[in-house]
Amino acid sequence: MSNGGSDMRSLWRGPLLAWIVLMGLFAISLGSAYIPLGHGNVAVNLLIAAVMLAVLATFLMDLKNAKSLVRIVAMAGLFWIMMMFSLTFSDYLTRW
Amino acid sequence: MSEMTLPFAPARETAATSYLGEGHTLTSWLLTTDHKRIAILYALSITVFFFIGGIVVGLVRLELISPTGWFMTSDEYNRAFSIHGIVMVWFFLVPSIPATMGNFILPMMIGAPDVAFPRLNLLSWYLYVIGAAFTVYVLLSGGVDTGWTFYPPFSTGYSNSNVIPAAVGVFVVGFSSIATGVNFLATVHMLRAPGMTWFRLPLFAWSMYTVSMVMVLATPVLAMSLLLISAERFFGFPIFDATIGGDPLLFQHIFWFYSHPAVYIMILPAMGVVSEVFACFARRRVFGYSFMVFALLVIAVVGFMVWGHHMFVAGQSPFANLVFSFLSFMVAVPSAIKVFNWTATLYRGQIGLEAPMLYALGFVGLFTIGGLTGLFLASVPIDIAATDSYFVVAHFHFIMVGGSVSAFMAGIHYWWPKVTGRLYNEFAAQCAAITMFIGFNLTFMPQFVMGWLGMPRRYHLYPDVFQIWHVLSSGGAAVLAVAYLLPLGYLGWSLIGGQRAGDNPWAATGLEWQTPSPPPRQNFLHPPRVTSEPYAYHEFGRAREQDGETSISGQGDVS
Repeated sequence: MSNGGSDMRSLWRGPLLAWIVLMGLFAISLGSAYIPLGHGNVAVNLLIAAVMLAVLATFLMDLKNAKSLVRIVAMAGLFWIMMMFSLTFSDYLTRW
Repeated sequence: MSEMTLPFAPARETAATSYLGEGHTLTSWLLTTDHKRIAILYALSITVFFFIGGIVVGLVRLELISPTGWFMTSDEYNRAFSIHGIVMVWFFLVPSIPATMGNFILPMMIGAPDVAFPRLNLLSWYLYVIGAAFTVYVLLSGGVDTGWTFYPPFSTGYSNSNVIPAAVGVFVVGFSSIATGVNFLATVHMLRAPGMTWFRLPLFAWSMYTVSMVMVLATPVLAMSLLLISAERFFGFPIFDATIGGDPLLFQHIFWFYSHPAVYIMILPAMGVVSEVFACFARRRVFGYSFMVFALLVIAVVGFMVWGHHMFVAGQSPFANLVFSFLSFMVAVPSAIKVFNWTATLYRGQIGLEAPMLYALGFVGLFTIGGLTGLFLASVPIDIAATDSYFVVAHFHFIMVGGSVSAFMAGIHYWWPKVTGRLYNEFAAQCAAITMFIGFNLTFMPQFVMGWLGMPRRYHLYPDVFQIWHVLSSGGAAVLAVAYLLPLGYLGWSLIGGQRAGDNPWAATGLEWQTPSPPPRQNFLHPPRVTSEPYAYHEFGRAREQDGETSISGQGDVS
């Protein structure tokens, strides 16, 4: 019984910590919007988003303990979203 | 290879206890987790939706006989072609081959007793039926006038039709696609029989694998685009409305990121079916097997990078037009490899012109015309002239109907004896295949001509000069309707009065043919073990004239 309780605690600990970190980053992101940094605001927000992505993939998706096939699938998802963004920006960044 | 196992047939199971005999109550069907029964449920459902979409477009073609309109207002016409598009794309074409033949044949083809997640499979059917039935109810009780593409700002700010309920229905059906895709990916990875290595997979199994990747990666983006449309329409969020800081082109980017790969969701399975049929009815090994596999994979990947060719005149930047034009030309290369390899497969084959082969040959002709006219439209200057014209309508119908529906019919006829254990009337089936080919060309060839002459799509009032082409097209649609109704008759009759098919009436290779027809609940009487490459027709010396002399039942790849 006690083992079960310990297992449950260890099961929840990682995701809970990750969630707390994500909430903290969210608060920083929100707060940074009120600091006038010019173009720096975008850079800061993109940096925070990248950290959030890393936390999410590593701890919530548990890729740090995943098999290589699962990691490849996750990388494929990242590749697809990069493709989506880069080709969309081939339009937005070249309009005149 | 596999860490996952499902039980095979128990010792008491015999050829006499087929999946059809596992229960005759409604509950035994509605609560089944057998992939074969779920495939039948899907087949019946998509047939209903196919005929709903078909009846509506029959009305559309009837309306277009007269250049001044006949019995529809412009608003009713908008709603009619929107019903046709939404129903045919999402409730027929996308699930057509994967959910029916994929569900039935894929596990058998790889030597598995079921899919990896049988209950998820049943859930996917329920999601499909609930979402599709709800959407059809919405479309018929008020309707949507945006076309199947839901473009803003019309869909978000101006349309007085049921945009949000229709989007919700399509959203739900999308989860059915995702569930099917996840299931097939897991099945192919985890449940292949011993000896079934990746490069021993039949091409239909490869096509199901690649299409599953596309379904899983693309469909969430459709869900996202429909949610954003609903959010702007319902809450007024500034996403696509340019007057409050949004960008209407953003919707088109997101929507076509799904909807262009959706074309490959429709055509990749068709390519898989046709490869099986050509090998069997030409008694030939598929020419360039590994090239065929890589062509499927390249189409699946590059198909994600071409969506911008739908937006050449929408305000997309000239640089982006150039990029998407180049990538669209690129995707033609693997498609051409497949067409050339099918042709080479037929070369010196002992070709039989049974109905599945006639449908498959029709597929290649129609797909080639659709593909080549796609190259016209991938060229920016030509697309600027032809955009939103009937030329585009004809082009995509050649791919999605001429191609996908021909292959769907080829597959239905090819695997019918396996699914039902009965043979259909071959002559009637050959007549239906030829009628479909003639009817299809009569319907859509005139649309190429009138589109090139300047007839725009989505108008029911038009100059008199186009009437002859519209009348020809409507006549073709009537022929096509006959061709679609004929199989209901002779396939239906075969269930009652058809001859017993035997285990392998086509003398085909492949695991699905090495088990009784109809198959037992868990597919195989003995766990299969694969010892040879697919399409080993030469090795067995199975020339057409030898079929009667060579015993093949229970042989092939099963040991």
